[in-house]
Amino acid sequence: MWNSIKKIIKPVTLTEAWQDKKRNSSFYSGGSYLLADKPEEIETLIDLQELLKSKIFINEDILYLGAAAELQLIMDRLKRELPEYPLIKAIQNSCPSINIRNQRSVGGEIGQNRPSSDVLVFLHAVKARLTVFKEDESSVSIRNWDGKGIITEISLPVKFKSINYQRYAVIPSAPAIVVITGVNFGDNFEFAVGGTADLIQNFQVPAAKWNNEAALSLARTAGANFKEDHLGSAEYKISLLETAFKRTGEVL
Amino acid sequence: MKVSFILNGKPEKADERAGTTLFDYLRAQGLFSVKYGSDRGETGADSVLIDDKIYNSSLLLLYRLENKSVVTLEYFSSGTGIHPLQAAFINEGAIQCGYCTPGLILAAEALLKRVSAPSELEVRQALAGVYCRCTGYVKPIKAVMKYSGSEL
Amino acid sequence: MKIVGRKTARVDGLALAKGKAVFADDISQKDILYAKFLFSPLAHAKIKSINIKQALALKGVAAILTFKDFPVKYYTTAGQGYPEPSPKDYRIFDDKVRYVGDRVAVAAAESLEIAEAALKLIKVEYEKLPANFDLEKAMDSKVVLHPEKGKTFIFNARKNISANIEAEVGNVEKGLADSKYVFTQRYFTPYVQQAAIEPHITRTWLDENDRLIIRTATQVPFHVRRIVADVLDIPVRKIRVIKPRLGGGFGGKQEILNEEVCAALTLKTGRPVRLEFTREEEFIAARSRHAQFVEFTLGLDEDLKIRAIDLKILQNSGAYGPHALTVMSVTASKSLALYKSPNVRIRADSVYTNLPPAGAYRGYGAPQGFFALESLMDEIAHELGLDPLELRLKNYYKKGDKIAIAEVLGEGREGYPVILKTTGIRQCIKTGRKLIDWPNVQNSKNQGSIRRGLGVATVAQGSGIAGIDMGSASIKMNEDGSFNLHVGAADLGTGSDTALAQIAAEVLEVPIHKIIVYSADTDHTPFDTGAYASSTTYISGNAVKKAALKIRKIILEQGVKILGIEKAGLKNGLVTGADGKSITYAEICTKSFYTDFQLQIQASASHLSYDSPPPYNATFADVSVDIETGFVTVHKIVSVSDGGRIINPQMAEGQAEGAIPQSLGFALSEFMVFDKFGRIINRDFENYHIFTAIDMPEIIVKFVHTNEPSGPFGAKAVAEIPIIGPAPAIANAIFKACGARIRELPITPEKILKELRRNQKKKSEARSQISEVRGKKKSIVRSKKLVEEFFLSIRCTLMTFVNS
Repeated sequence: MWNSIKKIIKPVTLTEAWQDKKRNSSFYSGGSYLLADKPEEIETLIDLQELLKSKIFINEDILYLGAAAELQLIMDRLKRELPEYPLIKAIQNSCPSINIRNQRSVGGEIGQNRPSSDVLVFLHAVKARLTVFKEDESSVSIRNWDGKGIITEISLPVKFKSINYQRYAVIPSAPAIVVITGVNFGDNFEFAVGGTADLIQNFQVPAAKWNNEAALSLARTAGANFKEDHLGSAEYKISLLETAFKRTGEVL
Repeated sequence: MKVSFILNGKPEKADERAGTTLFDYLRAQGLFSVKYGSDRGETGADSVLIDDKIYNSSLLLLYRLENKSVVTLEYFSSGTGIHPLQAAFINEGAIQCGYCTPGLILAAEALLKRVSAPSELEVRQALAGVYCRCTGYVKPIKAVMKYSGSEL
Repeated sequence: MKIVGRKTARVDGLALAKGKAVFADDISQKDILYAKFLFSPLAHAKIKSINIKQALALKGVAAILTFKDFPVKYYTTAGQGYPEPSPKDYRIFDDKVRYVGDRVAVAAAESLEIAEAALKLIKVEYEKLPANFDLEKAMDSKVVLHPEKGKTFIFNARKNISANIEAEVGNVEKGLADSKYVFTQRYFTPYVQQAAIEPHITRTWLDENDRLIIRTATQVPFHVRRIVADVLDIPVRKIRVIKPRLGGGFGGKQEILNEEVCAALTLKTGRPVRLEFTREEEFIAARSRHAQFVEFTLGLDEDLKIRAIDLKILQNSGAYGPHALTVMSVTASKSLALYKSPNVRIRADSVYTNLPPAGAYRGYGAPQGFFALESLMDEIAHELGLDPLELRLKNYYKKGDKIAIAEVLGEGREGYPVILKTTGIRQCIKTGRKLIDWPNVQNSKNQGSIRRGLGVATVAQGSGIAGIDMGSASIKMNEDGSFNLHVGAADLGTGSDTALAQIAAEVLEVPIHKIIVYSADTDHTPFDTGAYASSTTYISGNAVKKAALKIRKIILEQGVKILGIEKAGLKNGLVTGADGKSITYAEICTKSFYTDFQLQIQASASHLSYDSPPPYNATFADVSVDIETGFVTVHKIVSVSDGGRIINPQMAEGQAEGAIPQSLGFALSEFMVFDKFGRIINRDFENYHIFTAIDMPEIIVKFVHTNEPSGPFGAKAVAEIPIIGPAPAIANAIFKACGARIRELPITPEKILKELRRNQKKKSEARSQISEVRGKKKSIVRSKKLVEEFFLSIRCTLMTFVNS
């Protein structure tokens, strides 16, 4: 029972939905995070389920995901059409429970903005673009999104010179201490790292300049935002990041 | 809030408070195979099938079930017989305390609806949403593999 | 044998497979109240005032209880034999709180929501007291947790020592002095939780005769009845405790955690009350495994035979002392029952800190002790250049040996002499060694960043508590030739009902479906101490066997009388005379009911054992370590046990298969972390990592066969023994793989990496932490520096995290 909920609103248009968003209310899509937390201050849910699309399609090497598409649906589709695409693994690891993957929408996953999300780290690395609705629709890189508005669609490239995704977790079902995705865009290597950090960080390094020193320097910069906790000291995490950067760079 | 759905094959009409979860509702109806294990969906003890897919009933608000078909483990053995998957769990010794058994069986059923002869990895991944503290998953995995005809 | 030793489906299998309503909470009750605890947010405080007026005024609130509602009466929440060996240091509600999660109040209301709202309206004014979270400082701390008068069985309240053990056999000082090699090392194991998927749940109500019914998820129904009667000062005859199916216990439900409060609410309101812990509350307020420092000193003679073992334990009781003494005594008595030594000594203290009280958890002290002992054996073997198995094989107790420690150290009191009648440890090693491919893998080359290694640990447990654990069974016959078997033994999900039915069926020579088992209901089943200490098969099983033998005798007597002959035999469910005339069970019972020599064929029996034959186990681990990151992957665990004659092979396998992941978690991923205010940080399964289906390595479980004369049909225990070995086997495998010796659980990647770096630095230096003492230089040397660093890192796990 989510005691504080008094009202459910089912807006017919995005404009209506956006206008309904007030204090003590929350957008409600898949709801797996929301129902887990059941925040007491929320009294009104704005149900977006019927408003958002869950269509998934690939066109000219771009993968389009309706924001309401559940993680499992995306996985299934990718397994058929792009079995090597590492987003499949990122989804599996982000959310090892198929029960939850059936419910959790990709839009919600992005909206939660959790630095430990393998999916989010992946989307950052490949420079996914979000279609976001505030007063009206606009397109923004996931890296520049301010966290406001309703995400309606996500688009991301599926072809790269090379791509590599790695994670380091105590056991496979545990959230990663460090999760990293590197993409070789030709001239540049682009990395996104997350895990037990305050935020997801993005780095760009000219491909020609990639070496072990670059990996160390990235690890130090990124490490500043990693928290010391029971899984490791800040110092350890920097060393783990260094190894992760090196290994990812090697593959690229 | 009013909602109409199919529960274990029969039409169900409910009118509950907006914050009522499917879990709250099912237990109140005496469908006790749906169990409490945690609040964040980690244990999957609260598993149900909705339109043949597995979900955590405690993470779903009841009103969202409109026109959907919900199945709990009770549906598998209505009447006197049992489902062969249940028989496989008994025969393979896949049940210890039995608290997670409904979730494990539903997870296996949901998998087998999608994949008729799953690999061991697929079975493991399908059961990953249901925690079991008794069996180490060895025998539940074996039971699913045996039942689906893909021996380990 | 026809039934014992064969695969037999569980007697409760069908109901469980169907998801039937068989657990404590699976009933619908009208007019029920929902109860919820208010737990302390502070680690140590005096309650200056508590005002419940506003909360009581809330519509739908039926009762609120605080310390003001109860006289001062101290007891222990540990569900143990009587008189309990645990200190009586606990009050149902107190005017003082001693850990974050201690009880402050409880509210009962028409809905859970109202109860929660009521708790928010309770106004508590706390006077904060200084708290101590450091178990090493507890004895000298100014923070004294239990200064109150009237608390009993606390070893030394002023020094925060809840329990203490000092025992010696032979002369350890002399034994060490006479040794050629002396090795000392200290290890640490952290707080971990049982994490049964079913939380603690109790329902209480008054029946039509105003008797108090307690339907609860417990391993110890008879202790629940005794303790609730004592705490609430009501006669035992007024209470009935029902233990339905249990959703796992693992020791966590060997505790009175909510029954007495739920009962008090029912007595106050006259209404049914339901009190269930949430998962978060399980982590905050339920029990866990005692954290221990364990230091072993081993003296070996020239032939590498152990001459002396000196064991020191410093244990964290947490804020109260349930199981404090007995867990430590098990640490000692089990770890000292494996290797023969003429001289052994134990010095052990359990201390109070302002952290959650620990309790019983499968293995009960043995996992802590064997992590230390089996790591040290590995270290010694490495130091002396021996195969780790070779050193062990030289030192095992053999059949006919008297286990020195058993006599001086029982559980919470002196023990009884134990002469070893069976030991399969050598066969366990032989079998396991083959299955893990020991020689081939151990000698294979290791290079690159991923290093593979094998490790082994050999361990012992007990079968029930000698001279204390008592089980009973009663059997009555029905006219179709079936039998009701009523046992006080509490099947907590292990399948003991089935094992006990098998024993009865074997004796009575009937198929198992003719045995109808009913377990653990204080009104309807005879007494049993409960499901703990690996006692059910061995102790309660013997009680069942005795009762069944009595029944057999009565059936035969009745058969002979009814047939009108002088002598007959009983076989395959028939009583047959020399003339070939026979009569079936059904006929005998029917005639006994209605026509001939009328009586109810029934019998009961109890069993107590002064023996507690140790089951043995050898666990092998195959792991690899990423030496650049410190991450460990476990590939395979081989677990071979000697549980005597196995009553139900499939269920016994299940016990081992389920115990292994609990120990894998203990080794690698499970540990409770507290912030500097004493609050647990990882209070859900997203942050407390138990092994799931995708985390499990390959598991191979085997049993070797011994025939224990004191056990029912040769059985010893199997439930706890397999949880002990995996953690030390993994630690040893990690050392073999990469040279990192981790003496502090959990083994996190950072600890491995640190150790690898230290090894690199030390390469040229002499090996210092284990020293060899020769001839007349009799000092035991330990590297001080290393020990100091070790302490610091321990404090880290407990103390440093502020950002929660």
